[in-house]
Amino acid sequence: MLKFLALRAVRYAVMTFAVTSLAYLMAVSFFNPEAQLADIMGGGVDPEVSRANVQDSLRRLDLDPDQNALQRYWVWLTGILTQWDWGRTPNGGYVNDEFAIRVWISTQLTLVATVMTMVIGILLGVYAAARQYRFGDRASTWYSYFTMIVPVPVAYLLVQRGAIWVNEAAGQQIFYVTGFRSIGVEGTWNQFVDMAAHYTVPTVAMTLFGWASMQISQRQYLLDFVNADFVRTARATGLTRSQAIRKHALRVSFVPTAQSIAFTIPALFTGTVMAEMVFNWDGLGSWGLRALHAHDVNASVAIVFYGCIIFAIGAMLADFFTSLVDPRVRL
Amino acid sequence: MSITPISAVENSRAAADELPEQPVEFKPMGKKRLIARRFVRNRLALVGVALLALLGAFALFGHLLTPWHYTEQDFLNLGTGPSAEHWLGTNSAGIDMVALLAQGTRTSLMIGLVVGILTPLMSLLAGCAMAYFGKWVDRTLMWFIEALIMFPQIILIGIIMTGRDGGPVTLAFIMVFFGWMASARLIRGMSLSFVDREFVKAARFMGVHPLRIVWRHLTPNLASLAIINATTSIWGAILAEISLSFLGIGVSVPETSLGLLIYQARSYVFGQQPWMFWAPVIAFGLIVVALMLINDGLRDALDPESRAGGRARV
Repeated sequence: MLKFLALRAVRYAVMTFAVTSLAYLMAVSFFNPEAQLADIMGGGVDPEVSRANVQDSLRRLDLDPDQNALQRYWVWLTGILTQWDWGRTPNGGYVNDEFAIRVWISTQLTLVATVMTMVIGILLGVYAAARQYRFGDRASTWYSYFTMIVPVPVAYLLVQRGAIWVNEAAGQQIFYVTGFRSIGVEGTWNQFVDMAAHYTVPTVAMTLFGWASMQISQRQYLLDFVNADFVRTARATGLTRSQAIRKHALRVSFVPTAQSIAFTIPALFTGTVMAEMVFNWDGLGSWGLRALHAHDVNASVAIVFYGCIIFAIGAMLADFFTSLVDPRVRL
Repeated sequence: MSITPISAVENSRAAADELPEQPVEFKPMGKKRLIARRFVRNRLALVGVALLALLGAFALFGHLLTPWHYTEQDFLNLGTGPSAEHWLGTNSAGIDMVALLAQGTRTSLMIGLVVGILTPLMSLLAGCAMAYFGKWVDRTLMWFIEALIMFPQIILIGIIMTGRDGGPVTLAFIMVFFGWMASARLIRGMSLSFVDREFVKAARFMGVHPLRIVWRHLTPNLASLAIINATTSIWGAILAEISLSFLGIGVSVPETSLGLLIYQARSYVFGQQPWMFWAPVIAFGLIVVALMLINDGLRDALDPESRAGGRARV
C-alpha cells in the first residue's frame, strides 16, 4: 500500500516537474511583459528612455528581458529549489505572498458550494435511479442535462440578476452580488451577517448549476447495479426492493463516486475561475487570469505547478479511497 | 454495435412470416444505407438537421442581411435600438448587431466543427494505436495523456492565446489538442477486445501494414462511438469557447464569437438592451437543440437494438 502510493508519488513528481518546466519555457518564449508594462507605466516623452526604464525595472525583479529562455529558467529553478522563491510579478509583488492570500479566498468561496453540490448530487442521483423513468427521475435528470448545456457565465449572470431583483423588490441591500466583504464592518455578529450576504449568491449559483454531473453519474452507477444478479439474489432471499438496493447495490455504486469525491477535495483549493470573475472575488482564478493578461510568467507558472500538485493529490486520494471502498482492490 | 446486412434480412424474414402470402424479395442493404434509412425515418432528427442547416446558412450568408460589415462602425447610431437600418440595433461602438451575430455564429460553428470532427478522429486513432501496438507505444502515449490531463488547461490555453494573440482558428486547434485524451483512454479499453480477434490476426499474418490494420479493421468497429462523440464534442467546444471568451482568453476583439458577444453584453441581461445579450444566447441554444436532436437520431440509427427508429417496411 505505502509502496504503491510512494511509487505513484514519484511518478507524479516527475510529471509535475516536466509539465511545470514546459509551462515556464512556453510562457517565457510567448509572453512579452515589456510591452504590457510599458502600457501601464505610460509612454513618457522619449520612447527610448521609457523603454530603458521598463527594462531596468524588469531586471531588478529578476525578469531580465535580455536573457534567453534557458538562462532565465535556470535562475528561476535555482530560486525555487534553494529558497522556495517563486519569483516576482512584473509590478513588483512577491508570488509567494500573493498566492497564499488568494488560495484562502478561493477556498472560502468554493467550500460550501462544493459540499452542497456533492451531497445534493449524490442524493438526487440515488433517488432518480431508484425511481427510474418515473416523474422524479425524469424531472431531476432533465434539470441536470439542462444545467449542463447552459453556458456557465450565462447561468451565473442570471442568478446574479435574480439577486439584484430581490434586492430591488425588498428595497434594501439583502444580498451583495460582487466582492467578498464590505469595508469597515465591526463586531463579530455584523461581520458574520456581512459575510453571509456576500456568500449566499455565488454559493447558490454554483450549487444550482453544479450538481448536474454528480447526479447523472451517480444515477448511472446505481442503475448499473440495480438490475444486477446479486441484487436479484438478495431480493429472492426476501428483502424488499428498497432494502436490496440500500444494502447491496448502493454500496457498490459508491466505488466510482468515491473517486470523483477524491478529485473534488483538493480542487476546493483551486476555486473556480468563472465564479470569481462574475462575482468579482479576488481569488486564485481571477488572479491567474490577470497574470495571464499582464504576461506575468512567474505567477502563471506558479498556478500551473499548483494545479499539477492538486491533481496529483486528487489522483492518489482516489486510489486510496478505492482501496478503502472496494474489497476487490488491494494495493 | 455493428449492424450487419444479415440483421436487415432477418427483420424482413420475420415480417414475411407474419404475412406468408406475399412473396418477399431480399434486397441486401449496405451498412451505411441502412443507418441512413434509420436516421431519415426519425422525424425529430430531421428537424435537427434542418435547424442546423438553417443556422449554417445564417452563419454563411447572414452578412447579406445587412449592408454593414462586422468591423464597420456607424458613428451616427451608437448603441441604438432596433431600427429599419439596424434590425437588432448597434452596440456601443456602433457596430451592427446582425452582422456581429452572423459572424459570431460563423466563428462558433467553425470552432465546433473543427473540434467536433478532429477530436473524435484523434482519440479514435490514438486509442486504437495504443491497443494494437501495446508495449512502448502504449506506455509512452499513456504518460503523454496523463501529463496532458495534469496540465491546468485554462492557464495553458491562456499562455498560448494571450502570448500569441491567437485567433479563432488557433483556439480551435488548441482545443483539439487538449480534448482528445479522455475518450482515447475509453477507446483503448474498448478496442483491446478487438486486437486478438481472428480478422485482425489474419490481416497481420497477410502482411498488412500495421497502420492500415488500425485504420481498416479497428477504427470501423468503434466508429459508431466516435460519431456519437462527435456531436457531443461539437457543443462541448462551443460551450468551452463561450467560457474562454468570457474570461478574455478566447476569441478577442477584432474577431467575434457568440462567447465574446455574451461577454460584451453581460450588463444588459434585463437592462436597457436585452436583445444584445439574449440574441447570442438564443443562437447558442438553437445550435445545442439541433445537435441534441441529431445526436439522439444518430444514437438510435447506430444502435442495432434500438426500436426507436421504427421498423423497416417490406
